[in-house]
Parts: sequence; C-alpha cells; structure tokens
Amino acid sequence: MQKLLKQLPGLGYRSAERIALHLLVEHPERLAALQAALSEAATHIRRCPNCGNLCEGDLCEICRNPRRQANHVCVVETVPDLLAVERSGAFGGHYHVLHGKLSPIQGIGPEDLNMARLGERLGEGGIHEVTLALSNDIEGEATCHFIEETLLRGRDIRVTRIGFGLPSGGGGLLFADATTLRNALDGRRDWNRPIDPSA
Amino acid sequence: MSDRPSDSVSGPLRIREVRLQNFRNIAEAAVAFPADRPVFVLGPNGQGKTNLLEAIGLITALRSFRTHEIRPLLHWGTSEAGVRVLLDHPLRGETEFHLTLAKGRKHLRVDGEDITRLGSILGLFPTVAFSSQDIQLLRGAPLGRRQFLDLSLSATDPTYYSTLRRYHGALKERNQLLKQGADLALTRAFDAILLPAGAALMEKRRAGLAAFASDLEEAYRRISPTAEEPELRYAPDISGARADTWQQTLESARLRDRETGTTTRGPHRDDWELRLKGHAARPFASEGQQRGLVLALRVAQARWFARHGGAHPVILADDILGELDPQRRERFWNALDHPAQIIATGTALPGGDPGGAWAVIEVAAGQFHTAAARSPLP
Ligand SMILES: [Zn+2]
Repeated sequence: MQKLLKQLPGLGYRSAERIALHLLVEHPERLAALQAALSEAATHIRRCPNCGNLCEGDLCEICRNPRRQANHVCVVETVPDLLAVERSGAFGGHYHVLHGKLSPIQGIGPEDLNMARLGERLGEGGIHEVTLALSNDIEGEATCHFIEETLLRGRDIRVTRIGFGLPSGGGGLLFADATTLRNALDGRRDWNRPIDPSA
Repeated sequence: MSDRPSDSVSGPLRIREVRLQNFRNIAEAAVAFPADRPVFVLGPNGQGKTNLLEAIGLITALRSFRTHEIRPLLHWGTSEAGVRVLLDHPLRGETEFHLTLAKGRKHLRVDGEDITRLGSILGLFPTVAFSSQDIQLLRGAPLGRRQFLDLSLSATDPTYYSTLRRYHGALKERNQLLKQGADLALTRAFDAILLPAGAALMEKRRAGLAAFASDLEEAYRRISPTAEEPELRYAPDISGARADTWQQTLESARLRDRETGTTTRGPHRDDWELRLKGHAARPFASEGQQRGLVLALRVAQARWFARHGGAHPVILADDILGELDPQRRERFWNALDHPAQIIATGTALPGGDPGGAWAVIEVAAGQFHTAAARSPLP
C-alpha cells in the first residue's frame, strides 16, 4: 500500500508511510469511506465527451451550464490547468482539454491528444473565439502552431493566446496564481499567426 | 552587442580555495590560493595538475575544457564527485560554488542556493583556459569553434543563451519527427519556432563576431610582432545569414531532411574562420602564426569577458608556458589583463615575469602542497 501511495504525485516515502499508518492503524474507520469514494470515482468519473474535462453523467458541469458562453473556447493541456483558469474567475466560456502537448521526443503526437474532437467542435460552428492557454515552452508553442495550421486556418474564428508572462519552465498554468491568470486572460492578445511560406 | 556597459568591470574574479572530492585522480584535496600572486602548479605529468585546473574551469559553464562527458571526471570506482570553489567576486563578494557531479547529472549550489538554470549563472564566474588543445580551434571540426562562440556570447548576453536553447530544443523535436517520417503539418509546427530562433541566432552571431574581432585584433597585435591583421569571418551555413534565405533553404531541404532523418541546413552548422592577409589561416598560415592566432583568440576571449561581463576572468594556463619562447611569453603576459588572477601549470617553473613572483603549489599523485615562494628564473 505504501509503495502504491509513493507512486502518487507529490508524495515521498515519508508522507506515503504516514498516510498508510494513518489509514491502517490510527483511523481504520476512514479506510472504508475512502475505498468507497475511490471506487465510486473509478466507475462514474470519465472524460467529458465534448471537452475532455472530468465528468459524471453525460457532459461535464461546464458544458452543461447554460450560463456559460459556448462561443468562446479555452484550450488547455490538463484538467489542473482548467481548474486554475476556473479559480481565476475571469473566464466564462467553455474549455477543451488536450490531455498533453505535442512532443515527438516523448512520443506524443496529435493522435495521442484530444485533438480530433477539437476539430469536430470547430467544424460544428458557433465558436467565435479560441484562446490557446498552453504552456510557454517549445512543445506548448508548437502545439499552438499545429492547432492553428490544421484546425483553425481558414475559419472565421478569433484566435488569442495566453501563456506569455506566466511562470515558464515546468509549471505550465498550474502554478500561476489567480491574479496572474486574470491579468493574462484580460490582456490576452491575438495570436500572431505563423508566416505562411506558400502565401 | 551586449547591453551591459563595457566599463561595468569592477575587478578580477579570484579563486581563494578549491576543495575536491573524488575528482579524477584526486580522492580528496583542499588547495588554498594566495591573494594577489600568480600561482604555479608544479609537478611531473599525470599527477593531477591539469585536473585541478579543469575543476576550476567548471565554474564558468559547468563544462570541462577537456571532455563533454561526466564519467571521466569521477574518481575511479566512485559515483559522485564534488567541486567546491570559494571565490571573491568583484560585485557579489565572497561566493561559494558547490558542484556535485554524478553519472548523467550535475547539481549546483551557489551560496547554498540550488541553481536549476544554467542561464542564471553563465558568465558570472568567467575563466579562460589556455591549453595545447586550443590549436583545434583552428584545425579541428566546426563544433569546437561553435562552442567557443556560443560560450563567449552566452556568457555576456543572457538572451543569446535562451535563444540558443530554444533553437536546439526545437531542432531536437524536429529531428525526431524527421526520423519518424511525420507529416508536414507537424514538422511545420516546430519550424515555426526553429525559424525565428535560428534567424535571431544568426543575427546575434554576426554582430557578436564583429564585436569580438576588435578584441582579437588588439590581442594579436600584442602577441605577434608583425603588422599583419587577423580577420575573423562568420561562415554561416545559410548564405548571408538572412532570415528569408533561411526559410527558403529549410523549405527546399525538406525532402532531403526526410530522407536523411535530420535537419541538414541551419545555424547548427555554422562556422567561423580566421584569416591572415586575406587567406584562411588554417591551410596558409605558418605553424608559428597559427599558434599565435589561437593564443590571441584566448586572450581576446579574456578581454571579451572582462569588457562585457562583470569581472576579469581567471586565467588558467595549462602547460602552455613551456611551449612559448621567452620573447613570446613576455608578450603573452603583456597581452593579458593585468588584474586577472593567473593559475598556471607545468613541469618546470617558466622564466619571465607574470607580474609578481609565482606562488608554487607542488603536486604529486593527486596531493597538493604549497611550497615556498619562488622568484622567476632570470
Ligand atoms: Zn465538457
């Protein structure tokens, strides 16, 4: 059990040991509740078929919420990034979670990402603005370029980019605090589209 | 080219103490360096003189001037080496540099603080190592010349280093795509990063080499008795080092890149060359001229660090003084920046005056002993 816990992000040997002892020795009554919650989550929580966010039921809470603007989509790499943007309170649209970014070296191509569904959503119409909120590194930027070139080019959609000015180097959006994110979203700028050599 | 003022130098960087642990043939050593005296590390070959100098050289870019691998730096049979250097920095004051080396891994602490980005310390602790291998700057492959250029510019311009990293990061991903035979759209997503980074790199190299040339001319004038002027010429892979040409070249090389599975053209293949009297120095200059030129290159690098960085670099002269005749040795001292700390090695104390009597440290089998001060031979 301790070994399994240690594999979780953010837990070292010591904290894994503490949690294991806590659940098995000090408070065994909590174990059953946790067990139930975990198996409940495992059976009911899945990816939202529309946007890739976590959801119970047909669609995630955000896609289901009629008060949110469906015509503005914020593309993020991960669910924690989505939650960070949500916490900033500055975004009222829909999301699209890619579940990663392009990295040939790590063997991650477009087919490994939630990319095809984004193409479908854009093709369905009704989206006026796409905000690319991907990390500020080579892979994040290349992913922006790829989305632009393969999914957005030729469509009448405003494309904006945030990520610049956020802490770069490993963290991505996750470590950006709410204020920084709010400023980034308010000041989001039009994505300077890549030069088209055939033009 | 640097936005730092050229009069920002406030004094020399000085090594006060070096502590080594499991570094090459040195199991454990603590070597103190006297203030304001040139230091001569004296001993037969194979005892650890160069190893000490190599360890000091690591403070500049965490890279050895002898090897690109970490493994040869580790004492035989051990898995971790430690290099602690106590420095006097003209702007920072007393500073402790502590590098831990293990297979495939380096860990640096400066004054106890973890340094995770090389860019944040590049150029802070400048050293210039003179060694017999320097002749490879003239005769060797372009890689050595690119590294010389990249280090000189990275240490004095933080944006050069970040651009270089961006370029090489995008290049690595692109080459992986070419090996996999990935489609055009995916390759172009990385081209969109490679192109502007490459164009910026070429522009910075062109400007940097032009500025470096004046330091080289000055250094060569002091080292070589003749009136011949050396010329430093940028030899970019992309003709004219122009951004538009670069984009066209990358486009037209696409097919070949896919066949070979690598990016065949671009600033990662740049080179530069030295010329004398309108001819490339490599095939045409005499042996003596070539040695004078590479000596001048290192002296120029020291001047460059001093003018554009924050401190006069520590001069590490690895076994080169014995190779110079007395006249040339005299001119070499004269060409160096006077306030710089000099740490030299050799099998015998050289004649000539580096600006004060040598403090001698004797080395045998990886052990260092401070000897009594000696005056230079007449
Ligand atoms: Zn959803």
